[in-house]
Amino acid sequence: MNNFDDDLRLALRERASGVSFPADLSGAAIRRARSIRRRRRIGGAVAAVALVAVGVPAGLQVSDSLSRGDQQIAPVEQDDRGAPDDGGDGDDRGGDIVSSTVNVDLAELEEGDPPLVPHVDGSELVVDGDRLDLGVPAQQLSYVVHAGGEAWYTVGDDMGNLSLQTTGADLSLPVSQGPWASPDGRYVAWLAGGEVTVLDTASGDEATLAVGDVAHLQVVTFVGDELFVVPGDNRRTLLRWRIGDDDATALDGFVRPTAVSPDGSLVADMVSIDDYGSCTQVKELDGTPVGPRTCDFRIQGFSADGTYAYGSSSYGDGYADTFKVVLNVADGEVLMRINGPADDPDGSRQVSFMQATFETEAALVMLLEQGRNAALVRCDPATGECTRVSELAGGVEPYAADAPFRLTA
Amino acid sequence: MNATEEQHFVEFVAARQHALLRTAYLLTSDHHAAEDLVQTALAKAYLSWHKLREPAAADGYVRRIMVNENTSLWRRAWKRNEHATDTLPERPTTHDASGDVEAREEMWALVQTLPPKQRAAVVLRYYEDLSEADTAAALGCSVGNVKSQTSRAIATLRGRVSTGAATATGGAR
Repeated sequence: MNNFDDDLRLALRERASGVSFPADLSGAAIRRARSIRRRRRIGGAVAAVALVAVGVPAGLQVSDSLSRGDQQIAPVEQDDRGAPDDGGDGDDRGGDIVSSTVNVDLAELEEGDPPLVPHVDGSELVVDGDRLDLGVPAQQLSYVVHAGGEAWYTVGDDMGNLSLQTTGADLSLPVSQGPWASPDGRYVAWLAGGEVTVLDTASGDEATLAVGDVAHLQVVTFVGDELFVVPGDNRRTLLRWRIGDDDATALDGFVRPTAVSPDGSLVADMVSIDDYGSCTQVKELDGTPVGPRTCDFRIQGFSADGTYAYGSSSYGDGYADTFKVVLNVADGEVLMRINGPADDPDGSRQVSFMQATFETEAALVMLLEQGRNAALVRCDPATGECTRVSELAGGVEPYAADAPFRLTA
Repeated sequence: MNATEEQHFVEFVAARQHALLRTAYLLTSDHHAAEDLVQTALAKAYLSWHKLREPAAADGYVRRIMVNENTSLWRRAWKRNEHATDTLPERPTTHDASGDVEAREEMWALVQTLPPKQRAAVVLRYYEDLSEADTAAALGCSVGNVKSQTSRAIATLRGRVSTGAATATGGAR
């Protein structure tokens, strides 16, 4: 102890003693807590489960020769140490989730149950445990979805041309991008010749929307009988199209939309971007902000009812994202951050986060690559744990096999 | 949360809100921000209240949320280019015969220039009188990190106090 320490201590105490006090804070705190809880609640079944098609690298087929290890997950830091346990009672979901950071090393992950979301394993589409053989080598597959009880997929040739095919018919249609499927499996869509075509698999009817001379769509989200799209050449325009109408409505109030929630209530809008990062604001469809703006993360997708969002670095990494976060939309709180190995000084064990989708509630299923390996991994903020939910695939140097991997909703 | 648990929460708030507000003020330098910070921390604690294993842990739990929330808010503001400045806040004009009040005001002004985690470490160690281990728990970091954060903070404060003293001396000549 010395005079400096005493001075510091006295200075702080003197300052603190001058604080004025409001009336009892408990009422306001409880009201705020209930507001947070309302936003966190998940309503109904999870639409994302049924119809999000996930592809995995061809290498998944050859995983048997590789270590499957039964070790526990690599270092887990609970930044709420000593806080309430994270066991859930199913009612108070907001309180169940304890903010956590998990460092993932694919070879060390404990194995978990297979993904509930449809996914591609080699050249097969797996839906609810059933397998649809696509008859195409996995390396040639681009997008794969499940709609109308069939697999719809695009196959690339050596020149990069894509053709749309399906297990339900003898079809080979040149397309620019797609397919995408609606959450209920009724609609399947693709982009070709500057038009988005939507096929109603129930009636066989097709509808088209002209989107200009674009090769890509940035955002494609089905919500009931509507489709939200952001044409690739004008990423500032969010179109809302009632399928079958002559025209779509351009929604005002967005700078650069990056995601639409599956229930159609929220839009992630990148409101600023520069060389060093970006800021994202979640908004309602009329442009009203929801929750805080984040300049730490770029929001990339929402859970079924928009309660949770996932994202990654605000500036975007080169080959792939190097981490993912799950956020609570209402208050921007990071519920879970998933990183590569903590002890990786030379970056040789870096994990690339290739694709992600919400599975149930806040649980995220991702395709991760690490060196020559790849696997599907589930990370659940409710448990603070990640598990490997596919085989560990071996790929080709220096990366895992090129992943024909897409998520649609 | 059942009625009993809610009653415990209300009693906890009644008993601890003033202390929490004082700490929050030392972290934020702003009465309104402090109140908002405490309210946010209490709201988050409320959501998990029924799972507190030990009622005695509530104080530390809320404090931890408060510190993390404040650091997170600061980080967001920094990303928005609302950068903290090295320029010291305006010096107070209050004097007493011994100059002690002025010295403490200057010390407080310097504390406000510290990065949030260093500032939190200083507040928890020197105001709350927490141990290094408890401070580490509140900050969500290792004891070693607390030591380094505190050490850097104190070195900064000492350096600036010295600079200020030298400047004052020089100016008087």
